[in-house]
Amino acid sequence: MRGRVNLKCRYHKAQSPLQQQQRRQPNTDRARRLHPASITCVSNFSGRDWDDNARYSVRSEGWRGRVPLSVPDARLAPECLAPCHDHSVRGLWRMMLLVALLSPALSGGLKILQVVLPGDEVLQFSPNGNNERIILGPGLRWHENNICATRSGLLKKASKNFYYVDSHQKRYIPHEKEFVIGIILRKKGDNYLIDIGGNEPGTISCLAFENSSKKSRKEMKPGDLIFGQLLVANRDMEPELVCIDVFNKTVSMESLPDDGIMFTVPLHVARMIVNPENIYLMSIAKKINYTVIVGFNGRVWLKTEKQRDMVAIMNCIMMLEFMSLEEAEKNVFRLLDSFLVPVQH
Amino acid sequence: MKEVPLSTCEKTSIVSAIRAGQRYDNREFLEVRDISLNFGKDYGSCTVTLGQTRVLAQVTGEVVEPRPSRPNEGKISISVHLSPMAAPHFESGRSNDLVDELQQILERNIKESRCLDLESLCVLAEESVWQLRVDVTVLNHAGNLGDACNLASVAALRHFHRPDVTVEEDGRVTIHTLEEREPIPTFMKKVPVCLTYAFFVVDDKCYMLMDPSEKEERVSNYFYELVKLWIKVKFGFMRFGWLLRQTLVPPTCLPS
Repeated sequence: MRGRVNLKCRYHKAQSPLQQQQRRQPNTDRARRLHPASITCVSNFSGRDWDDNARYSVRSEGWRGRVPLSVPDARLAPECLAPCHDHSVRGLWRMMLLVALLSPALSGGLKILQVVLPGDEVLQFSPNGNNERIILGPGLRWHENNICATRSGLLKKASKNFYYVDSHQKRYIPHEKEFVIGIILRKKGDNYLIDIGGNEPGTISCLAFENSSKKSRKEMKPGDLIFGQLLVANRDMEPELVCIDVFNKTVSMESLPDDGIMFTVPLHVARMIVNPENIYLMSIAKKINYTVIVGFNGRVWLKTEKQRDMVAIMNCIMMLEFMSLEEAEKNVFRLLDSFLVPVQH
Repeated sequence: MKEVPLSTCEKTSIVSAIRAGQRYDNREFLEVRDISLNFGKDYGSCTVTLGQTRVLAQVTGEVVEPRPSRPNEGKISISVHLSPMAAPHFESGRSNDLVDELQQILERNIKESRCLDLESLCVLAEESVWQLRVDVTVLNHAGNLGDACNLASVAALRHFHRPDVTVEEDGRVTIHTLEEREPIPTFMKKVPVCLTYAFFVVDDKCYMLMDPSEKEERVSNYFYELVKLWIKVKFGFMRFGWLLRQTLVPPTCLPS
């Protein structure tokens, strides 16, 4: 019995129509393959905002279409947990901090998968006019010829030169273009106030849904769930969500029906299960058919036909918090069976 | 920070899971989560872990003057602190309903039940008595704080040993250090045990869940807390929280 996973976090650019005219259309064929090495341009970052560095998190932008049953050739380091499989060069990466020039002798000094604590010196370098570059992701910072860790966690490598610190984090910090699941708090004028797990509630306009105009609006009550993309999210403004993409179409971004189950996982688990290299969700799908929507704020929504299955899969996903993937894969069927045994009451 | 709102989806899913006979962590309805008690190096320090809920209680004592109305009795004071470490919506320093409720539970369980023999805490009548101070800090809130706080404070009180005291003839009181003389344990005549139940009313049926987790607490209709004083067959009732316009609980629901 083959199950299907209907993974609903899809990739879309949330841009205003003006910006859309200025950019060319994304190449959908390239979108299916992962080419991290092609990303060399790391613009849009001015070196002076050091504090911003620590706030960006590594995200993966989701699939276009169904999750294929055969994972495509990733060309990423195997220990990578959250690849950014996004392919057009500019503007779609959020992690960029610094391009530093390294002398070749020092590039071997960074050890992967070492545990770092805040303040640990990871590497010493001084910029030389050489070819090697190193790209620092979230959790790493360059200060006075030292690369230091700013978070505690594992030092990981996402591509040839891209390093970051993967930490256990539950508190969500909103970023642009991330897909999140929000809970509607109340209606405020023409907008809805939504709780996305950050320090401020976000807003979504009533018109930011497909087929909604001033005359026919989408009506939602407080307590409803919504899956949308963050259009604006920086520390000086309150976050703003949309449920349509640049072509004004809803593609699986909508208000979620009430009869599913929603739970919160730490952020690294949400990134882990969305990772296309990761077949955890698909191994659960071998036993049960289900639909899952993963928000990057750690909220996951599930639906199956039977109530009992939902609780089982929820526990399987929450198990990933403290287990590595290999351990989780070994234990997942045992856990599912233990939940599916009917209990007498 | 404000508390994260509960979505309609979560509420309906918990209730329908209960109707189907299942709890989120696959417990029985009357099953309690794993409890572990860790005592510290100092006397009177105890950390209780009830599932994911974690509470720390610390008992300290000092010699003070007694209350004029009760010159032979020692004093106990209990205070509960909800640290922001426990949940994002807790703010330290600001009193909120939950703190008041927990303090009320603990005071009723320990003080009003007279489980501790306060007269044994007297050093010199009308002049000096021991004042025990119980400080309870909630380290992590994952449901059922009442039980955990009660367990922690009772365990800390039973773990606490007070230093030995000698009274000279001229009325001077010498408190010996722990190295000089063996400290004296506190004696509890009765041990208050607190059990919390959450009730869900679904389709004219009432389901009773023991040791509710955080989500179950928030979704439940009614909340009951039963305090049983061990050894002596006497138990008291308290209802608090989301209260009741109609008394719903049939006598068969209650454990004997």
